[in-house]
Amino acid sequence: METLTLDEKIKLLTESARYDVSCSSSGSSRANTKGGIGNAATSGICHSWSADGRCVSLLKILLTNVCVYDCAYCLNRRSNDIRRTSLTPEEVAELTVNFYRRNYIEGLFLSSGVVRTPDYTMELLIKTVRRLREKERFNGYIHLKLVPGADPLLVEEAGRLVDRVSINLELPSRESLALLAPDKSRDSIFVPMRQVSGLITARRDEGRRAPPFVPAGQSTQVIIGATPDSDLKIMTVSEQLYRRLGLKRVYYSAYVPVMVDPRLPPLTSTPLLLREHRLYQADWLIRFYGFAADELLDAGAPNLDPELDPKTGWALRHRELFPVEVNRAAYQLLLRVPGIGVRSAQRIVRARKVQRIRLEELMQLGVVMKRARYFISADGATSGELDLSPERLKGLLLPGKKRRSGPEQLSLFPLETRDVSAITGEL
Amino acid sequence: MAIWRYDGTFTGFLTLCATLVTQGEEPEKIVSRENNQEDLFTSVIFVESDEARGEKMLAAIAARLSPESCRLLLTAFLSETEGVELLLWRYLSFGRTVGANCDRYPAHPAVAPIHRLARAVGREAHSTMGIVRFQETTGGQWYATVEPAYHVLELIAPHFAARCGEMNWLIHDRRRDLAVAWNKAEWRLTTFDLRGVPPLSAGEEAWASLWRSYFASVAIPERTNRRLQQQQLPKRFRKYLTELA
Ligand code: SF4
Repeated sequence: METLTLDEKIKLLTESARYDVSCSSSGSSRANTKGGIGNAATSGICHSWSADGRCVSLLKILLTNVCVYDCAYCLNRRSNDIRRTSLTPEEVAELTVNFYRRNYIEGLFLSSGVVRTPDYTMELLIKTVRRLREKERFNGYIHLKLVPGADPLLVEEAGRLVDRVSINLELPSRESLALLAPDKSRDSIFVPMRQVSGLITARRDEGRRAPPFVPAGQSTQVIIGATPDSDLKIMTVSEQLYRRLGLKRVYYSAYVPVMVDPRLPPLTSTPLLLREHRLYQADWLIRFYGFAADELLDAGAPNLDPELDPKTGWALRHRELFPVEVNRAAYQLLLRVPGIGVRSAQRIVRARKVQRIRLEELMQLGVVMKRARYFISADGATSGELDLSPERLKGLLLPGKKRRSGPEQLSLFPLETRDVSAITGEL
Repeated sequence: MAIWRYDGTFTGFLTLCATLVTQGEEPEKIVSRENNQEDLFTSVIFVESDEARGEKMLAAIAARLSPESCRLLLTAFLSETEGVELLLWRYLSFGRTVGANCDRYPAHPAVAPIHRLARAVGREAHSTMGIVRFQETTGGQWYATVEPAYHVLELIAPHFAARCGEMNWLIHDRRRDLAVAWNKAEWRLTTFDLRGVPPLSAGEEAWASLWRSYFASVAIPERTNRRLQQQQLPKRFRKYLTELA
């Protein structure tokens, strides 16, 4: 390895880390300690936004971009001819604390290429976070990547030190994984994931005083568009990860072609940002709106409609359920109305306990009437025409054409604009 | 009905409310500054700020309405919007009739404006927490400048006190010539009108430069979306950002 300045190392190791899209710093809660620095706020804080419009909340960096594996889609793969470098645990700890003091960041998101073996790499990562927690007394947010195939004892040790762990699935099917990431078996990913899930559950049963174990849970990431896997396949996997393993987040990352490889889309292809966006919307519906993956997608239509958000699409397929009466409808049904989000549904339920809600009041409750009007009544009154033909109604609900300059410029958040941040739909 | 005046502080406003309640008065207007334009025939009644009465009033609101109502009142008050006092008074009066249920009428004309203002101020406070940038001065103090749209200093102070308790820090609101300062034991709001930046420690620029490198590298070039960045990070937030200055 050549000798590089700290500045050069940071640039290289950040460029290699940036395709991991997770930036969340929410959902943990860690108090500062006497003489220590930092805490983890329950609701995540964005500190800046980079030129791609993504929230910058964590110092997202690799310990090293050296890797013994050869995953086709990855910049750091063994067979790629790039400059290699690494940071020492001390350097990472010092950098984190100094960035944190200046309030540049909420914490650290540390990952790494696989050096020598998974266990050796995991030990290096643990050494780094241990230094931060114990020597620097850093109580800010730490998200640590688990190395596929790492020893269960190391996985557990890591989980006791950090706020969140993640291990990236990257490819939703066994075949795609075997094709593009030949060094990683599906088990080397799912075994640690299951172990973490089990330890989180066990921790919950131990009561509040037990030492924390990944208080912000675990997440994973799936690459979109590098393989022919359908949205149905992807969302079915996500649903299982949420329902069975209790994952906090599944991130979707539109594949950015960085490698020439016959197994991959050509370098000239552009990332599928609109598809990624629709998947985030569907994901949101599964986590907070009580939808099941097979309500949104099925074998007949295995991919999400690029034109319409999945909730509106679902409502258009189920006209028979509407209009719903906002003064009576169950919360779960309110959530299914286009133009009503989690917050407005909650406000409706609260408000109707003490009064009857009238149509004019819905806007004050945060309902987007432009969309909702075709699907609701309030105290019997309606405001949109309810017997429009399906084509006509779809036309009315399509997002305005004028302001859109193509999917690459995507910045619309039809679900709940103010509650979500860029790209990932973070709460 | 008369015009009522107070000293512009939250305590002063609470004292004024307590006075209105005891005297059974309904104000026509509530102002915090003397205004010569007022017509000669309306009387202006000034209420002296009284810590003890203010506290008592706040406790009464917490009991009669809810602690959440107290938070909403303070947060909306900090919007410093013209006429906010009368809106707060109406919310309070409505709350006195419906009690703890007050916030279940989010669409009610007495409640909606308060919720809206409190949300706006809360959002501003949250954003400000992210864009504060401390710089280490030669004296080992940490200094930051902000220009928030609302008066959020006292809303963000507890956050930094908990987080950076071992640092002597000062956050300067240049728009209001105020600062909140922490001395490792307590925070205090003071007037402050420093122009320019205090002398910085020797290592400061090096860290700032590393941060700029990080910031430039973390963006994915193939996904460049300046419009989205602009939307999330409007101009008024950028002024004191190390990475964008
Ligand atoms: S193991 Fe990780 S760093 Fe190594 S090639 Fe695969 S994805 Fe890249």
